[in-house]
Order: sequence, then C-alpha cells, then structure tokens
Amino acid sequence: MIKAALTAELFLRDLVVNAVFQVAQELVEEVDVEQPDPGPRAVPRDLRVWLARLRLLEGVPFGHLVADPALLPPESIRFFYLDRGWTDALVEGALSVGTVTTPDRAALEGLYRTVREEVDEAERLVRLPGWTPGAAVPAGPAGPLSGFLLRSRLVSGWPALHVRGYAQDNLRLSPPVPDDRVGEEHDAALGRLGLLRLERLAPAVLVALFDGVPQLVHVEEPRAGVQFGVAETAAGAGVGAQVVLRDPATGERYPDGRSVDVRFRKDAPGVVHLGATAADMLARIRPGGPPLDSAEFAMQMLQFPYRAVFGDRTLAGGASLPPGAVFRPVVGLAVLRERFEGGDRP
Amino acid sequence: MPTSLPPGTFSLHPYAEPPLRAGRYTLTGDVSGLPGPVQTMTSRVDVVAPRLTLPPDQILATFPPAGARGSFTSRLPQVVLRRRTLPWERSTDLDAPTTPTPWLALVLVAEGEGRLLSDVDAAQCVTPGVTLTGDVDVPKSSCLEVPREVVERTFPTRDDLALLCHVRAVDLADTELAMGDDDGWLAVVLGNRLPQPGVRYLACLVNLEGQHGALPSIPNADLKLDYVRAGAVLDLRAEAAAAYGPVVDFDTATMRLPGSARTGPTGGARPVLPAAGGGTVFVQAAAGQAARLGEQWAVAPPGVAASAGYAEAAGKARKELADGWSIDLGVVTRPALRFPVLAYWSFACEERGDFRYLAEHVHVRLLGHVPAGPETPDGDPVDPHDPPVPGAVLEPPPTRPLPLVTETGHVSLGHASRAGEPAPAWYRGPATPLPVPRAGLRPDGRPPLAHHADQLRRVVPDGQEDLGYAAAFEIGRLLALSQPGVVTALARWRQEAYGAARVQQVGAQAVAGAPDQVRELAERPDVLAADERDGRRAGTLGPRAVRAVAELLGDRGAAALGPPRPVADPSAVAADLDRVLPDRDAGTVAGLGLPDLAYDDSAALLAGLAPLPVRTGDPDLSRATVALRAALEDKAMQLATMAGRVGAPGTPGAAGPAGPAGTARDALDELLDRAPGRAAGRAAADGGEV
Repeated sequence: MIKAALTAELFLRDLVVNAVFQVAQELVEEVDVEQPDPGPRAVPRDLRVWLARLRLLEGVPFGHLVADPALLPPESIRFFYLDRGWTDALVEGALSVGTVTTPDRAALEGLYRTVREEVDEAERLVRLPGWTPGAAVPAGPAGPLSGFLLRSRLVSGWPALHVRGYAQDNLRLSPPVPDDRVGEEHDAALGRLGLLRLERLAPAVLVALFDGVPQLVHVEEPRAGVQFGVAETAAGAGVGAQVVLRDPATGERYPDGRSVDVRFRKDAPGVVHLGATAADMLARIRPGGPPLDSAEFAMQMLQFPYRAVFGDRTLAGGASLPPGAVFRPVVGLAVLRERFEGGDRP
Repeated sequence: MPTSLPPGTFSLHPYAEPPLRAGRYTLTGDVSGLPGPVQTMTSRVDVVAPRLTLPPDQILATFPPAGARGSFTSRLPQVVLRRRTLPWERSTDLDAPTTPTPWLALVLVAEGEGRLLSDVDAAQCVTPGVTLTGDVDVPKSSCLEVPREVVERTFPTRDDLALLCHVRAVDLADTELAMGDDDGWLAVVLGNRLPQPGVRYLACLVNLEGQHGALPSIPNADLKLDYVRAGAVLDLRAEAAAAYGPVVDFDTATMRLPGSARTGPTGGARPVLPAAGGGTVFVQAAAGQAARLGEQWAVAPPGVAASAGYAEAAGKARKELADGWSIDLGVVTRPALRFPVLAYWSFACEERGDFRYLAEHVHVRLLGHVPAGPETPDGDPVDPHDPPVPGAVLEPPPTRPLPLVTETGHVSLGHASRAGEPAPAWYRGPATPLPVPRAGLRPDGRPPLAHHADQLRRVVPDGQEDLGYAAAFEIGRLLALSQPGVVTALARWRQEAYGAARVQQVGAQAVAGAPDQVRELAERPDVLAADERDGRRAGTLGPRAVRAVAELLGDRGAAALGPPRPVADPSAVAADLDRVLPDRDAGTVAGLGLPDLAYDDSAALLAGLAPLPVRTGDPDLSRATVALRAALEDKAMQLATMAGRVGAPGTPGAAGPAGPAGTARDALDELLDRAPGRAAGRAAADGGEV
C-alpha cells in the first residue's frame, strides 16, 4: 500500500518538476531582457517585431498610401484612420512566404488568431523611446489606429518637430487648461496617446501614427534657446510686423491681447526703429511712465516656440465648420448607390 | 550665481555696471607705525578687456546659428556673451546717472554692402581720422568697411544701442539656458535688422568706440509701418560691374590663361568679378577670433589704394573674390567707415514663412479630400473679397484630371487586367477617411486567412474590381521576400511547426519520466477533442495525464493511495508512545515537577504553566560523586587494559594476564589485577573489543 502511494506521489512530482524545468529552460532562452518583450509568445520576437513594423506601414511604397498627388498637395495636413484589414492583408502576405505545403497552411490557419493578437501587441514595441531594460512594456488589446500625413515646409525647415496626440481636449477639462499651458503634467488627465510611428518619408513629408483616435494634436516647434523677434503680418503689398505685449510685472501676455505695430525705417527693408517702437510700447503698457529699459524691451520681444494645436475650434469660441468642409468626396454615396443598382453605365 | 530663481525661469536686467574700467592702474602701498621708514610700494595692475578681438570662449551662442539656412525673417539676430559687463566696459558715460551707452553693436551686413578685412593693423581698424586712445589688446585685428550710406540706413542709432544690450540671469542647473556659462549671468546683444529672404548676411559684433557720432539719427517722419521686401540696401557688386563692364569668364581669368583678359579703359587686365548672385561656401563657424583668416574671406591686401591701379587689384584677384564681402571699396569711390570687428559669422535667410506662419496656413482635411479650387486652411467658405494669401506656395494647375474619390475613400485608378484589357478599378489604401471595422472571426472561431492575393480581390456591384487588399497582400509578400533574414526566420519557424513542435517536445519530456503504464495512457488522444490530431496537441497534456492517473487508480483509489497525511502530523512515533506511556499527560506533568496542575484541559494547562517560576532541583552531591567516580574508574581501567594489551614491542597484540611472556610482574600489573572490572577487561582484550 505504501509503495503504491509513494509511486504515485513520486510520479506526479516528477511530472511537475520536469515540466516546470523544461518550461523554465525555454523561457530563459526566449526572453531577452535587453529588448522590450511582454513575454514568451508563439511567434519568435524578431519575426513579431518585423511583422509589427509591417503593420505600421514601414517599407510600404508611398504610392500605396497616397494614390494620387492631388490627395496630398503642398502645405497640407491630412488625417486618416488606419484600415486594419489592409494591414492584416500585409501580414498575411508576409506569412504566405513561410508556408509551402497544404499542411503548413492548415497549421497556420489554426495558429493565425494567436499570431494576429501577438502582432497587435507587438505594434507598441516598435517605438519605445526612453525604454530601459527592466522597465514595463505596454500591453493590452489593440484598438483602432489613426494618424496624419503632413506635407509642408514645416517638415523640411524644422526636422525635429514635436508631435503629441491626446484622447481628450484640454478645453473640456474642468477647469479648462489653456492651449499654451498644456505640459507633461497633463499627460494622464488628457490621455496622451502613444506615438507608434513618426517618420519623414521625404524631406517635406511627415507621417505619424497614433495608438488610438486623438481629439487633440499638437505640432510644436523644436526649442532653440531663447529667441527675440516679431510676428509678421501681411500689409497690402508689403510686410509688416507686430509684437504682442507682455505685462512687465508678471511676464505673461496681456489677457486682452494688446499689441503694437513695429516701426521700420524708410528705405531700409527690415530695419527696425527701436526708439519709436519702444515709445509705442510704453504708451500701451504704462502711459506717462518712465521709458522702457533694455530688459523690459527684451521681454516684449521674447518669442517662445510656437505650438500648432489641431482640435475642435468651437471649444475656443470659433465657428463650427460647414458640413463637408474636411472631406468632400467627388463621388457621393447616393451616386454610388444609383450606379450599383444598375442605373447608368459604369 | 543668481539665487532665488524658480526652476525653468530666467530674469532680465537692463545693464551690469563694470566695477573697474579697463586700463592701467598703479597701486601704492604705505605702512605706518613701524620703527623706521618704510619704502612705499608701487605696483601696477593692468585690467584687460577685449577691445579689438574677442577670445573664442567668450561667445556662448549666436542666433541664427553660423552657416545656417532657414527662415529667420521674423527673428532678430543675437549673440550671447559670457561676461555680463562686456557691452559696457568701455562706455564713456559710465559715471552718468542714466544707463551707460554700450560700445558694442551687432550689425547685419548683406552681401555686397561692405567688405570684411582681416589681419589689419590696429590703427587702421578704425575710420581714418579716428584714433583709439589707450592700449589695444592685439596688434592686428579684423575690421568691417562699409559705405556711409549703409551706416546711415541700417546701423542702430545712438538711442537704440541702449535698448539692444541686456543681461540675463539663469539658473546654472538648467543646462539648456545656461549654455555652459560659469556664473549664470550672460550678456545678450541684439541686432536691429530683420533678415530678408533670399539674402546671405554677415553678422558682425563691432566696436563703436570713438565713432558714436557716425551713427545715424532718424527723425520720426522717416518711419513706416511696413516695408516692401528687398535684399541689400545697396549692392556694390552691381556698381563694380557697371564700372568694369561685362564680367570676364571667371575660371579662365583666375587661371590667367592667355586671351582671358580683355582690354578696357585702364588698358590692363580686368578685375575678376563674379556674376551677380554667385555664391560660394560659407564660413564654417561663428568666429570668436576676429583675426581669423579664412579662405573665403577677403584676401585683397588692405593697402590697395584707388590710385594703385585696378590692374594690380585684378592681378591679385583670386578665386575667393567670388564672395560678396570682398569688393574693394576703393573701386567704387564712396566714403567708407571702418569699424573693428570682434566676432563675425554668416548665414543665409530663405523664403519667408516662419513656423507660426506656416502652421497657421496649413490646410487641414481628411485624406481623400481633393481641392477643387481656392480654399481656406480650416475649410471655411472662401470669401471672394479676401486678398490672396501670400507665402504659401500655390499648387501648379493640374495637368491631368483630378482623381475620382468616393465617399468611402476609394480612388478610381486605371488597371490592366490579366487578359490585357484596360479597365478602371477601385483602390483604397490603408489610410481611410472613415473608420473601417476589422474582419471578425468565422463561425469556427478563427479569423480569415488568405494564402494568395487573388483570394482578396473583390468585385464591386458595378462590375469593377476593388484591389486594395490584394495589393496589400502582394506588397507584404514582396517585402518579406526581399529580406533574406525574414525568409530565413519564417523558414525556421515553419520547421518548428510554428512553435507547436517546441511545445510538444516539452510535453513529451514531461511524460518521459513517468511509469510505462501512465505514459501509454497519457499518450492516447484526448477523447473530447474534435479530431485525433487535435487530441494529441500539447495543450491537452494536462487533462490527459490526469485522466491516465485516474484511470490507473480506478476503483481501488483508496487502496492504491495511502490515507492522506494530516496537516499537522505528530509523527509516527506518537502512536507507539501511547503504548509505552499509558498515562501520557500525567506522566509529562509529573516529570515537569508540577503534580498539582490540571492536565486534561489544555487551555487551563497553558494558563497554569505560564506564571510558574523555573524550578531547579538541589543536587545530591554524594550520590553524584560516587557515580562520577565509578565512571572515571571504569574508563581508566579500560585505558589501562588497552595500554597493557599493546604494551611490549615484539609481541603481536595478545596480552595475557601475566603480561608478555617472561617478564616479571610490576606495580602496574598489581593495579590491573586489583581493578574491579578486570573480568570485563579480559574479555574485552580477548574479544578485541573495548
């Protein structure tokens, strides 16, 4: 009796120990702590990350993203949703290279669901700036992706643009945060979206992909020290400039947005007459007071990096857009329906 | 180090007064009160400050950066200096109650507006007629020669100078703002001229000592609120070309090939001039050393006077003259002023449109929108009375028809079918204006998987094909095939049966150590699986193993396995103890010397035990002594027996009661005889055991 008991116990213990040992060995081989990896998966890590890059459209010819040059004219930004069916087709095409016989295809069909989920998860591993070995790796099911294409001199002139996407608009928070105050401390409140891809496809074309659908996008000028200057305005055939004034006591801009026009010298394009401009500034800041000294003048001329905010302008008091403003198709659904129901010739 | 600055902030100050002006000072020391006269000590202190040259480490940053090309049309140039008192160190009105006037100015000189000379004697660095009093720091320096007209139009006025220099205090911990400074105080000198697009500029930090009178004064009537874009204020190159006539071929003239020079009014070779607008390589970096002699900068000897003959100037002309700041002003006979240059750098300003302007005018739409006419950036309706927006480059008119885009985002493209017939087809890329749902799972729980591109071709009800997904499949396939590493990885993965083989191996090894019966039973396929292949999957190993074991045990479960062990086990001996000690608890309590404790109730027992003091028994010394002595004697006898046995050399071990044969008995033997355990010892000696 005792011998049977001991045998059963030994067998179970043996089984468990062996199994655990094997699995642990496999784990040690697979998980490389130097690279971000959520854990051992059916697809080897390198292949997974390559397929994830394919999902993020790396290597896809530009003509397949933008079918016609008229769809991305100069000085334009075009937002889009990413069709997961299209990217799945990319991955299926890549996987078809690895299947030769019918049993291979059957095996892959059985495994494809796992592969799809694992590549979804690996999409977030492709671009992890600032990841240190041992840090947490983003995980979770994959949601919809979106992004934008920007073709502009902004990209060629300022290659190190900062791009940020948020799931929530800062003017919807309570209390609302003004646009120029949004900083890193608001990341959690606004739900900052991960940036899966940010790349210059051409000197003047930038593509960005967000891990979600943003309500708010920032495109910001890269910092280059403290700069002094003016804001240029168009004035008839020529060019003018103005300076938005700051309160010398606080350093912030005036709430009423008061500004002065910059005075230039005659016959000298671009040469600023500082004395007259300073006198104008004095009249708007403290009429009748002591003249501006160089520190106060410098404070008025300070220009901080500009942040372009793409969001719902009705929250900031703007008018709402007319329907069809952002996308006006050439062939509407009504026309298509008529065509499909056998109306006119195709 | 400026204190009390909140992090990420800096403070601005109008000026920093130098505590000591530059110059030579004599210190005189006198001691009194000592017995005897003491000689007065005089020593000299020279306070040196830059005057004609700036050491390279004094400049922390410049804007625009040296050699940069960019849109700087809305930014004032600036230079940041390490020493906070530098712009005021040589001011003449330091003692006046108002802000002292700086002696430095940052001027922008466009191409063709002036000339930069290097390696010039200090006395000739200033306009003839002006002398620099006091010591100069270097014998030779660079200087900027500009016509008076340029000074009148573009240089800052005397009142402007005070507004252009200020002091900034930063926290040294903020390395970006501090830029490598050592005490957190910086001096900033601004320019007064906004760069214009399409022009190259030379920014010079000039010394205005003694020449403040030459600065312009602009009456208010001469001010305007806007200006028309233009380049330089005047272009000497054009004037020089006008003086010389058509330009010679640059290369042949430089190489002085025969026939290169044409005779002109002077009768000699023409000076080599570049075609208007020719540009060359920029100066590489912002120079702190004004005495730098770069290949690109003016190499014309400064001493060439107008009367020396233009032939000589031409003869000495070299390739570097293609640069815009090296036209000999003597050539065009204008009154010129010279200013010593402490530092200079060049940059080019490109088409207008700074970041803000471009960002405000970028057109925001969804992908798929095709502009059919003039539009506004946000999509508002266009007001026909609005002026055309300048700056943004308008698209050239399309030479082919605009694409047909449907509301779903499909674009109609030309397509040649396999039979060779052209027909339009619909195509939609990965970027859509509407969210597209992902393909769901089929009824058997698996997502659809295509193995060939043709499986993804769709036909639209109007007869055309929709080729978006098929194109995606092919692109993916081609991208995978184009990288041998990916092909290898996929092949290796296929060899492992896509990971299944690895898992199966794990399972097989797990079962390998089991008894044969168990293994056979465990390797049978899972009866609950769909087919046999599925039933052998490694994932079902667990249930199969359990089923095997349960089957083996069968109905004899209790017989095959022993009773379960209790959680708290008093051990196997406890059962025997009960037999040995019938009254276990009573015996324990008595043994502890506590006969009056109640031992049937464990709680009361514990409560009773806790406060009791530890009892020690009195040792019965006499009995202990006797026992000890007995033990010691016993041991001694044993040792002696051993000694007696081993004793005499030559005898192989055995010792008789009479000791070794033939020897007389001595006192030790008597003692041994008298020992009480002698019989036992003898037996031990015989038996070989001790």
